[in-house]
Amino acid sequence: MEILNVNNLKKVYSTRFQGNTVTALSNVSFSVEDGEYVAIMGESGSGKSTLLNILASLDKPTSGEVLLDGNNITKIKEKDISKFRRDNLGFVFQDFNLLDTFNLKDNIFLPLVLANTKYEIMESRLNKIAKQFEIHALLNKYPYEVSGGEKQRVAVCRALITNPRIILADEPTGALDSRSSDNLLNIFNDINKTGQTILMVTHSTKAAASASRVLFIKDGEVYHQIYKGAMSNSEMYEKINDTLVSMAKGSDYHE
Amino acid sequence: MNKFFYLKLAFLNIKSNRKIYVPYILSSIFVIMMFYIMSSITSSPITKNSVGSNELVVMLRYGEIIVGLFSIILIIYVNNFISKKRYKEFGLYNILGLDKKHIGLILFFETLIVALIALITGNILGVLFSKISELILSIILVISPQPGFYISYTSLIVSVVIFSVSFFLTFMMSLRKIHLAKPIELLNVNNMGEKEPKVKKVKLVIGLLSLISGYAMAVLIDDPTIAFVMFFVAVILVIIGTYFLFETGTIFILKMMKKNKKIYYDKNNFTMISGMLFRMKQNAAGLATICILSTCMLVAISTTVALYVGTKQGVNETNPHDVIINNYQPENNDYYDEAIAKVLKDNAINPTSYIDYDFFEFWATKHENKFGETTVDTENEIIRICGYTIDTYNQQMKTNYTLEDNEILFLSNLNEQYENVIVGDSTYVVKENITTAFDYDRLLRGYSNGAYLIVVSDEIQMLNVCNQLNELGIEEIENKIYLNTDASEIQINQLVSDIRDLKYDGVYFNLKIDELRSRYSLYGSMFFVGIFVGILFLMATVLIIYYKQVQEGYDDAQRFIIMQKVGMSKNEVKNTINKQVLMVFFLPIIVAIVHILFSYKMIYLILTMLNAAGDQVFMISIGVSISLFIVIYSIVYYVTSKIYYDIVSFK
Repeated sequence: MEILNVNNLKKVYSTRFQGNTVTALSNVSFSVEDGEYVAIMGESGSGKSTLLNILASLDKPTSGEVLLDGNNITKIKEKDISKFRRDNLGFVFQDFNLLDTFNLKDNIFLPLVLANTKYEIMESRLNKIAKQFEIHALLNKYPYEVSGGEKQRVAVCRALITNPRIILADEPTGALDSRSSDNLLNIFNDINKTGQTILMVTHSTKAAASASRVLFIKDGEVYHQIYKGAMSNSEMYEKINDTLVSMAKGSDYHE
Repeated sequence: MNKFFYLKLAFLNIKSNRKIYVPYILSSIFVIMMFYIMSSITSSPITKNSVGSNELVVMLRYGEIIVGLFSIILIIYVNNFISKKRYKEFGLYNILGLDKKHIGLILFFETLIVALIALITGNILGVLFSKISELILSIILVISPQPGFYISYTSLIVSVVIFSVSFFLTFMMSLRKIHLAKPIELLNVNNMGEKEPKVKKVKLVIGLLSLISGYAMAVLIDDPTIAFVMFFVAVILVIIGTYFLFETGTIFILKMMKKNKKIYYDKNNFTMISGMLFRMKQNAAGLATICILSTCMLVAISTTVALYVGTKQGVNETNPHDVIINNYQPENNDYYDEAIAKVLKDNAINPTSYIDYDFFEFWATKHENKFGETTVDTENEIIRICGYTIDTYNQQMKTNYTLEDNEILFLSNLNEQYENVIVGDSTYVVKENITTAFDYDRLLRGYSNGAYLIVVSDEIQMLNVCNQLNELGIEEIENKIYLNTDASEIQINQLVSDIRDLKYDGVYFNLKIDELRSRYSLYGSMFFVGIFVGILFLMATVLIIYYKQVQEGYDDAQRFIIMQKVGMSKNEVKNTINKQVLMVFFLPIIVAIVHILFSYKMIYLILTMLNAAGDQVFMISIGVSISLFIVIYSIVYYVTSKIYYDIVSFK
C-alpha cells in the first residue's frame, strides 16, 4: 500500500528583488510504500531540503500535490497544519533540535503534551520506547549533559512517541561521529523492521546504503533510484557510489 | 588602513545594531537633558530670589545629585548590556584578522559617536526645556515666573564633564572585557549550556523573614515618631526580601508547579514553566530592580504630591488665623489695644474675626491634684499649665458660666478629673471638669506628659496663679490677637510694618501667608524633585524592561523555532510568548503595588508628622500615580512585546 504520493511537485522561489526566480524543484514525482525506508540523496542545492520542507508541511509547493494516505497535505488549512504535523509526522534533525530548558524526558514528551495527552499514556509510551532505546538512565539529564549520539537517540524517541505515519529525517547522521552514526542507522533499521515508514534525506552514502531504496535528486528532479532488494549494505554502498560518480560526471546513467 | 575606515565601521555598526543603540542614545540624551535642567534650575534666578530659597536650593541639590548618580549608573548598565550583545561580532572581527587594538579603535569611535550625539542633543534639549521646567517650578511654588532666558554655563560644563567621564568609563569597561577574552570565547558567549536553577533554601528563608518583618513593621507601628525612625529599616528589609524572593521564591513556586504532573504536563503550562525557570534565573535581579525602582518612584511621586497638595489645608489647620499678634509683655505696653485698633483702622483692614485675649502658659510640676513650681531637683514630671479668664471662655464658647474667686473650670488633655485643684498655696474648687475649651489646639494638644487648662474668675486670679507657679513673676500674662481678614498680602505686610513702627517690646507676629510661602517652598521643591526623579525612575524601568525583552527575544528565538518544528502552531507559540512576557512584565509591578499597599499606613503616619492633609489626599495621589504608571507601563509592554515577537519570529 502506498502511504505517500508526491506528484509533479514544483517549487519556485522569487527573490526579494522582483524578476529573479530560482527553481528549487522543477518536477518531482515519487511514492513511498507503507513500511518502506527511503533515502533521498543529492548534492547541496539539488532541492532535497526544499522537498523535505514541503513534505513536512513547513513550506508550500508552487504546484503539484503531496498525498499522505490519500489526503493532499498541501491543501491543509494553516490552523490545522500543526495538529496534522504533530499527529502524522515525526522529525529527526541534523542538529537534534532538543530544547535546552527541558530535560530529555520532557523533550520526548513535548509533542504529546502539545497534543494534550494524559500523563499516564505518555508515561507508558515512554517506558516502552526508553526500554527499546536504552535511554532510561538519561531521562532526567539535560541536553547539554549528554553526547551527540545520545541526543540523536532522544530525538528519534521524540519522533516515534506520537506513533507517526512517517518519520522524516533530515541529515540525521550529519553531526554524529562514525560510531554514533552506525548506532543510529541500526536504530532506523530496527524501527523500520517493526513497520515504521522512514524518509531520510542524506549526504552520506553509508547512511543511504542502510535504506531499502535510494532516490537521487539532481537539479530539482528525481534523477534515478536504486532498490536494495537482496543486496548487502556494502554492495548497496558501491552501487550508490557509482551512481553518484556518474551523476557528477553528468553522463546519462540508466539501469 | 586609515582612521576613516574605523570611523565608518563604527557608524555602520551603530546603524546595524539600531534595535539596541537607538534606545541607548535616546535614553542618554534624556538623562543628560534631565541632569542639565535639574542643575541649571538649582542655580537659576528663580530659585535664588524665592522665599525660603535655602530649603529650595538644598532640595534641588539633592535632586541634582540623585539625577546625576542615577544617570551614570543607567548609562553603564545599558552599555554593559550592549557590549554583551556584541561580543560575537567582536569575536568575528578578531578571527577575520582585526587586532584587539583595532577593535578597541572601532569601539572608541562608536562610543565617541554616541557620546557626541547624546551630549550635544541632551544639553540643547536641556537648555530649551529648562525654561519650561522653570515655569512649572514657579507654578508649583506659587511665585511669579522670572522673565528672560537663563542658561547656566556652569551646569553645561558640569554635565559635559560628568557624562563624558561616564561614557569614557563605559568604553574602558568594554575594552577590558575584550582584552581579557579569547576570540572563541567571544564567539560562543551566548551558547553556553545552563543548568536548571536550584532553590537556595537559606536565601528563601532570609528573604521571607525580611519581607515579613518589613511588612509587619509597616503595619504594626502606630506611633508616627517610631514610624519615622523605623521607615528606613523597613525599606531595607523589604528590599532584601524582594531581591531574595525574586531570586528564590519564584523558582521555588515554579519548581512546585513542575512537580505537580497535572499542572506541568498541561499544554498551556509546559513550555511556560520550564521557560520561566531559566528566565527567572537570569532575570531575578533585573526584575527585582524594576520592582524596587517602581516602588520608589510611586512612593516618591505620591508622597510629594500628597505633601504638596495638602500644603494649604495643612497650613489652614495649623494656622486658623491670618494674622496673630503676640504680645509677651502687655503690662509694659500702655495703650496697646488702642494703638492696634488705630493702625487697623488706618490701614482700612476689616477683620472678619478679631479675638483679643490674655492668658498664661507655664511649665509646672504636678502631683495628683497639686500643681507646683518647677525646681531643678524635682521628682515630679514636668507638665504644662495654661489659663485664662471666664470672660474669655464665655465669650468664645458662647456660654454663661459665673465663677467665684476660688472656683475654676478644669480641663486636662489626658481626661483627668478633680474635685479641687491646689496651685501652690491656693486651693480652687473645680466647678466643672470641662471637655473642650477655646484655643484647645494651641494650648493643650499634643503634650503627652499632660497639659491642663484652668479657667479662673478674673485677671487677679490669673496673676495669683502666675505668682504661685513662678515666683519671679515676670512675663506672666501674655496677650494674643487672632485676626482674620480679607485684606490682601500687601495690606497685611503694611499692617505688620506699621505695628513694628510703634516699637513695642515683646510684640511678634505669626502670619499665615509666611507659613504658606515657606511650606510651598519646601513641599513644592520636594514635589518638583519627586516628579523629576519619578520620571527618571520610570524611564529606567522602561529601559531595563526593553533590553530584557530584546535579550530574551534573541535567547528564545531558537527555542521557538524548534517548538514549531515539533508541532506547535504559530498561534500557540504566540500564546506561550505572551504568557511569559506578561508574567515577566507584570510580576514586578504587582509586587510593587503590594509593597505600596503594605507601606501605606507607615507613610501616612510620617506624612501626618509633616502636617500633610488627610488620608484622602494621600490615597488619591497613590491611586492616581499607580493608575498612571500602569497605563504607561502597559504601553511599554505593548511595544516591547511586539519587538520581542518580531525578534523571535525573525521578522
